[in-house]
Amino acid sequence: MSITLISKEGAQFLVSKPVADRIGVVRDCAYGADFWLGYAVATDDSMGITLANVTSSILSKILVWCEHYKDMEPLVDGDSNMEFPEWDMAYIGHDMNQILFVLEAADYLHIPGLLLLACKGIADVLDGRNPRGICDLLGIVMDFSHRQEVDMDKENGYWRWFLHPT
Amino acid sequence: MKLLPFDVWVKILRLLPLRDYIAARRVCRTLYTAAMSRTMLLRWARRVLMSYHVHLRSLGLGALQDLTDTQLEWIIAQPFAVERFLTNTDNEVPSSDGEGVWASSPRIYQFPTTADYETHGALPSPNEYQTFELLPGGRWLLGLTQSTLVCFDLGSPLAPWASACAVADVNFYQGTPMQRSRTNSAFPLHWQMDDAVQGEAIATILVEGQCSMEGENVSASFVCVVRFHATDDGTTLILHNHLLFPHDERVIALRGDVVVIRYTSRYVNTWVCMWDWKEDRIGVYVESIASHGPFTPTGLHRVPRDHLLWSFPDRFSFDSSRTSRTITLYNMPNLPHPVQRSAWQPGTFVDRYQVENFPVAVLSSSGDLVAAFLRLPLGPDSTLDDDFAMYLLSKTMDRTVADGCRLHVTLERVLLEGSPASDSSPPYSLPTSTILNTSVLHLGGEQRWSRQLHLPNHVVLMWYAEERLLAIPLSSVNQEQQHRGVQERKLQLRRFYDPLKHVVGPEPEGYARLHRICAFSGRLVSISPSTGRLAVLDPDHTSTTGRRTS
Repeated sequence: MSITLISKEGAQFLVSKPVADRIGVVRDCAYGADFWLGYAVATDDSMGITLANVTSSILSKILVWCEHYKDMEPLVDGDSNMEFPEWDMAYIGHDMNQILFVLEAADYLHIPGLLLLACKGIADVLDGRNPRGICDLLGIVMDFSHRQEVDMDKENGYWRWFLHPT
Repeated sequence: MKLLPFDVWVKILRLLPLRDYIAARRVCRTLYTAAMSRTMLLRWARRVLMSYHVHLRSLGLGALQDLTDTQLEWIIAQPFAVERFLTNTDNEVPSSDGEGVWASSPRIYQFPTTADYETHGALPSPNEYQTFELLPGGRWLLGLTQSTLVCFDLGSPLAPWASACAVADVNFYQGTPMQRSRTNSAFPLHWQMDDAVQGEAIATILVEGQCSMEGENVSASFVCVVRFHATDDGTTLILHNHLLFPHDERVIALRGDVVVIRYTSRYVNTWVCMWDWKEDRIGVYVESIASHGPFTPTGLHRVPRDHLLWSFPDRFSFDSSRTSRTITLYNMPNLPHPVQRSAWQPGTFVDRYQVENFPVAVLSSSGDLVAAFLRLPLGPDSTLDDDFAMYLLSKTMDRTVADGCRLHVTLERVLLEGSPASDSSPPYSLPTSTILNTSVLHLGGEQRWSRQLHLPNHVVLMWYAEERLLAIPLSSVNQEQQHRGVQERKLQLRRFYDPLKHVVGPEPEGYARLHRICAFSGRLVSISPSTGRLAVLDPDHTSTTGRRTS
């Protein structure tokens, strides 16, 4: 059995069942509640599922990951000590924009393993950056008031030398 | 760019190292809220405690769940505080209350004891001893059972050689921080001895065992410093306790007042802990070799106490992971070339390891690593420097290392010769004893000797399988003749005594029973773990009949 996925631009991707099973949204759409009963509601390969929030390029990249993990269980939880497979780290890369797109798509498509990997990719990119560097990288506005910053400095006096080493 | 969802940030924060976690929560309110949630603080505090193997008890705190957010924050901050403490020239600990947690750790426990052997009615029987260790100098004999460390004084005025007595014992189950420890045969791995002749000895011992921490059984190791203080009034054993480390730690350096322990996790993080137990302070250095190189950002060169620089005498080390081993050449200030690192699979063979124009031979044989690092003298036309340095981690090397140069390591000398570019130069050589330490020795052919010891005039080899014990005069060994001229002498037992039973025992049936053998004062002393019996062997004694003395 195969399933057709349709990207935001209308491009069609024909994927096999094991690959589609990695995508939670597709799995739910294709199998519904009967997924847990072991058989599919729809069985013909003409069925198409539109993923309106995922572009073709990102979808193709995601399908590479799904294809790689069609027979393996990916990591779905971890901390900073977690060692990710080399293939995963090479896959996610260090392009922040690309990682963010993958992360959003993984969140939207409900792919926990890929979401964790994207988070790991972001964590690696953030490695060694100070707060200002993180803001610049992610385009986040520091919305602390001066009073709040002073209070945080008082609360966390032992971080001061690290955050302001000079 | 829009801000990521809150739950995604929580996931990211969990994946960040501690430094980045701290930096991230100063970014915006959303990240601050996510990072300062109690769940996150508990998670980080637990991770810090586990990473550095710190007991909450040693911090004077209760259960982790009962701590306030401020206390959790304080715990999380301590690695930075200690690092700052040791790297800052003014030694100020930037903590909220002005006190560093680990600056006051470890705690010291004293165990008053007596020199009267007879008062130790509950001492373990000889069969209970798992191992013995005769400390360098030959005076102090330590025995370890499942739960007790016993010290025998073999040479004090109160206890002459022939009537050695137990002077102190420490029970690991009696109210010590090792209360739940279960020691094993890894004791002791390292020793440091000071002033054994004058009656005061200091030994640094490493005890491995399972311990309970925060209600969870973890595999960890203790490091404790034991000082034996002998006076006319008796002998005291002082146990400076305790440091708890993960099971994969390696004590990389010992000195009278500093223990340096290096731990490489299964992942990529490496930390180095320096325990200055005389000043009761400890420094922890956390480093990610993969991302920064060895100790570069928080390198030991930033430590104001210069004498700590000796901590890496070999200047290179080996990191093991589940899939590979990595040789790491640490900072070598005298080297003109940058050094690199490489990795290879366990058991594979890397014959020549090139660091730019800097020949480095790295050999791996049957899992045992042999490594050499040398600078070749290639004559006046060479662009290389003409000095020579070498470090070995094992004893035997006979290989072509670079440019036709052949490296010979014998018992007596290490020679480097035969380079086409250095034909006119004499071979470079240096005494083997200057670079070799006790380890397994391969002496020609396929023979593998189980043990090797250095005496002033002999090298003693043991081969447990055939119960052979050979004494080889150093004068008969050279690079061309490793076997010929070697005078094999079966060592004769000169005298015996039993420090546990105070009786003269029979001669051991075979050398296979000699579990421990060590050298001091030009002689060998063997210790049987099963009987606790000591035997003194004299390599110069050629008679076939042993002589027993009490």
